[in-house]
Amino acid sequence: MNPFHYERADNAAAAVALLAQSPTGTFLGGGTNLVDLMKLGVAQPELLVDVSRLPYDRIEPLVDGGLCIGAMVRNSDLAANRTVRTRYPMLAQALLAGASGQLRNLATTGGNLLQRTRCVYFQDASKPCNKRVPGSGCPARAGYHRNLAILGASESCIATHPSDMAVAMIALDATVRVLGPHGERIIPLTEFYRLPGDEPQRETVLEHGDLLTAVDLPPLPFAVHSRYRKVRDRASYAFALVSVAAALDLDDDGTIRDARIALGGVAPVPWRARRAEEMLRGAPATEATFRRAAEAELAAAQPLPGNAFKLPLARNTLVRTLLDLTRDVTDVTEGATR
Amino acid sequence: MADLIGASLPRPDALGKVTGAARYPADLIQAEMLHLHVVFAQRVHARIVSLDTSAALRYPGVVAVLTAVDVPYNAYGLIEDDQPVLCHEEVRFEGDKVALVVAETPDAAAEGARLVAVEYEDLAAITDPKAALAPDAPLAHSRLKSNVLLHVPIRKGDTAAAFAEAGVVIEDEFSTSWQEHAFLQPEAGIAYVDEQDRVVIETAGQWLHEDRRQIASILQLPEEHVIVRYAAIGGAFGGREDLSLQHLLALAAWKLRRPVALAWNREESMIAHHKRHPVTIRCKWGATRDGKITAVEATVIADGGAYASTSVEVTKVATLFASGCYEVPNISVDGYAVYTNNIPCGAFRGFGAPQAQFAAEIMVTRLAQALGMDPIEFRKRNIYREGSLEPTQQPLPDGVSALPVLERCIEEASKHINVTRAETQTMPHLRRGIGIACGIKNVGYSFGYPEQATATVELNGKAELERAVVRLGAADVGQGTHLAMRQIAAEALGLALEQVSLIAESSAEAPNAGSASASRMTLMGGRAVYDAAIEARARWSANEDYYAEATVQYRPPQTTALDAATGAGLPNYCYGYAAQAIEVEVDTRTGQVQVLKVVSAHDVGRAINRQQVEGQIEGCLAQALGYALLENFQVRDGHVLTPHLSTYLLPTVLDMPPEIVPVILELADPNGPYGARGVAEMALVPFAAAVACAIHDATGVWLKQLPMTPERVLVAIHQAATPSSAAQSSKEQQ
Ligand SMILES: Cc1cc2nc3c(=O)[nH]c(=O)nc-3n(C[C@H](O)[C@H](O)[C@H](O)COP(=O)(O)OP(=O)(O)OC[C@H]3O[C@@H](n4cnc5c(N)ncnc54)[C@H](O)[C@@H]3O)c2cc1C
Ligand code: SF4
Repeated sequence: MNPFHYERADNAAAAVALLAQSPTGTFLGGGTNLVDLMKLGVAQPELLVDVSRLPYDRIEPLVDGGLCIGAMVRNSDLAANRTVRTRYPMLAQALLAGASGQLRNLATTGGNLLQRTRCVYFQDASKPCNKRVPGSGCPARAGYHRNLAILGASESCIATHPSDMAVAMIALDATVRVLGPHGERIIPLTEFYRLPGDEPQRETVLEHGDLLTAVDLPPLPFAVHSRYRKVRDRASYAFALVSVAAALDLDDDGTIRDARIALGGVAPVPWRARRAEEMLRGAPATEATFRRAAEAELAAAQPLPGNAFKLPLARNTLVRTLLDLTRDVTDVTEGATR
Repeated sequence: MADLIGASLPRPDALGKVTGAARYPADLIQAEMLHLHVVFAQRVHARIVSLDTSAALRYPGVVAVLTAVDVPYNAYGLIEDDQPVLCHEEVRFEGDKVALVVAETPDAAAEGARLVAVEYEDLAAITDPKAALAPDAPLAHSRLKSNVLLHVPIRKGDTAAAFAEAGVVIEDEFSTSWQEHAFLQPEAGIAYVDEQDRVVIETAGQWLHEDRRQIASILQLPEEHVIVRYAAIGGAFGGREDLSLQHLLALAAWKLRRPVALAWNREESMIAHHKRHPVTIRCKWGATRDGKITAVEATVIADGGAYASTSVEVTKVATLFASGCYEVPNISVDGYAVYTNNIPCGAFRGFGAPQAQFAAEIMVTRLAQALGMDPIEFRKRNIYREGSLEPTQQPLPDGVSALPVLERCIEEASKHINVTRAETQTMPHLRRGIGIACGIKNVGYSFGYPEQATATVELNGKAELERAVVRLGAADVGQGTHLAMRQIAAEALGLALEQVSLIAESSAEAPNAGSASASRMTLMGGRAVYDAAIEARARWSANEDYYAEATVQYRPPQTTALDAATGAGLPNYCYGYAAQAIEVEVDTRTGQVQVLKVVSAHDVGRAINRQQVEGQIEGCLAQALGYALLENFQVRDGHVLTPHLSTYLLPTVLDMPPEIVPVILELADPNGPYGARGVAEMALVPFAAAVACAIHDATGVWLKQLPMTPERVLVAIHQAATPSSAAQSSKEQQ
């Protein structure tokens, strides 16, 4: 591991100012991803500014009925929060489907959004990788890419974004609060992540020194009927092969009023499934509709030999999740009328 | 004291292991020791053009950098000395070692290692074992003429004639993958030179005296000048059979005459020690209409990787078991162990048997189905019985219990699993299925390899016998052998357990018991302890010294090498027999397989400690489940891509079947102490095939590749739904 300096910031402005002076420095959240990458020699910051103890560790209601989640809230606290569990169940489920209890106790909301890909070449400093060393090449395309992207990838990079939490948040239309050297700004999560294009090293729209301070969730009442389903190689402590976050709003006659869907494990970013949402709006909540929506979303997929299985996997998982949700919603309404 | 044998006595080491009090090799490292860091080649196959240590030597804290020129005899191996301690001219796999940096601190050693400048010239690499067999293939070792490390033929009867007459013939190809031992405690240890000028290595391993032999040979010292001691051992599974860092510690301590320490992290452990062999098996099976298996042909190709390790023996075992545990009159099997520039492969729980029987048990089930017979009934008709001839044309060693084990398995399974039909489906996409498979695996060394265990028993007392000290150089790798040995001695001597102590940790203080491997220690070490106890007891009775001692070497019935042309011979002196019934649930939308129930039946001859036998079965099943479904070790062009436990996934407790039923039969082995034979590897042998059979029962598709990951299950289901591709996937002629 390279030598580095460690500072603990007293307040957010000081943290931002500290980092602005160090071009290779970086913020430290729970460290569950960053420290691993430092040990592997993938990340070599000269300065770590520890922001994990800044006072952004609260989960508070917003005036519009939404929820403000501090960027330093630990994943385990967020998953256990009563409001999150009842009003945004898919978010709690996504968090609990991720990593392990010990990791969730340390991992922060901000760090989770900014965790790096698990592409094996990215994690191995002895291998070429366009994301790690721009221009060095992408061995994954012809090599081992079982867990990599079928949507939104580019010639230069086919990595997947590994976060479960971010998939649920992007489906919920979350926005991110950022404090940078030039002040504060708010960025919708759907515009926060960048597709790789020919600059896979730039994963978000953040600039150096930008600090995440909070994530805001809009009220979205129908998110009470939401689910997160994750397919993985083993029952716990594994990243998603494919995941689905979905919320459904149904009319009494079974017509879909509205839907929010995002996919994980299939793209370089948490993938908001807008095409599928469009197909669903106004259509009857049937398996055939769900299947058409899934096919529409995945029509643009460009699978490779080692990850082509993700196509049927994503389709089947999306259909299954929507069917389960329909049953949940119907059960609740029937229960109410009885 | 007659209740000692079979009692589920608690392990004396268990408490210390769960509280952290137990001292593993890394816990022995002390402040004033020098630290080692290995410079790995990170090249798949290359010539060393130059090696410059000057920058490393200048780094503050670096004391020395050892290279090939510092090694007295720079070649070692369990069977063949083909592995350099530190590479001289050529590196042959990524984890080859080129230099050893010695420094005052671990950080300085690591930094020094980065500063060792090695210039390489890449050589053509061979990483595909089938391609390695081609006459013009690049050579994994430039100095050799061929990549073939071993070709072993087994010939019995006339397969061509048998196939011509067979009622059904099935042909197919299977492939298995690498498996990592993933013991909890990565390799570590210390070494120093003692006051008598002996080099002492304190570490973990599986065979004190073999480690000593190899280290003495490397250092060109008499064996008595080398002492190997084992601290608490955090698992082994075959992965500590080869030297990994023990000899590096010895070399550095001997050269510098100062205490040295080395502890590998997980990644170093993963790239540096050998793995289970990936094997491809192309095979053809034939049976008569009335359900007799008449012929088996197979080609078994094992990727041995860059160095010999135990590949030759593993491949012979896989070749011997290509026809499973069935008496087949006509056999023609060719086994090949091949050198490549991949990570070396060697011993791993099961030692070639799981690979071979993954193919064999699936083929047996398919033959039965092709004949319209019940696969259990079909197995019973063909399974080994007392006196059955092995593929090597000699009768099996006495105590053949394959049939009673299968029968007991089915009997127990019928209480836990509806063996004839899976339970009703909960959801249309969740399908349940049942699989049955049998297994056979040798206990102890095979094919004429010298087999012995030696124990000393010392007795003390006054008028009555009061205390016994047992000396036996047996490694307790976590299987609990040390307690079992005391139980055997106490029973034989009529003492309480507390009156018997065991000295087992040092090559200087305990005689050679052979390795803790091949499921052999209870039988071999236990028998030596038993014989020595009986002999010492007789001497005690015959004198008035209040002291008696006896050292006894036990040698089991002699095995023989296989005939070079036909494979004829006496391969083994004892076998373990297993049978499993398994229920799975397959999610046909995701391809995920959940194992719901396992009934695992084993003839252990005699359970010396019942709880430990059950522990071995359950623990082995976890490793078997990982092997069958999950553990996906990726090597591309010789590079290991999954050196982390976050990318190489082991099963968690949630992946384990909610219900495991260990079934223990006690049909005495003629040689084992109190009839005991081994069990440690057995649950791994039939498991993958049983899961494949259960997946087939649930979905109608056959998986032929390990691990059976979701995508493989999905692809198979998809192909079966597309008729054109299903037809080409296997040939079945009737
Ligand atoms: C074995 C293992 C398994 C895992 N499995 C899963 C899984 O199944 N699903 C899943 O979703 N995740 C999984 N994870 C990842 C885990 O969720 C992340 O490591 C964690 O969420 C990162 O949070 P952190 O606070 O520790 O981030 P850190 O490691 O501290 O930081 C990560 C990145 O975010 C930056 N950063 C942190 N905080 C801020 C901030 N406030 N503002 C700006 N930048 C910031 C850091 O500079 C760094 O670049 C797993 C991790 C491991 C080690
Ligand atoms: S997919 Fe992206 S992260 Fe992986 S090797 Fe290619 S460029 Fe690097």
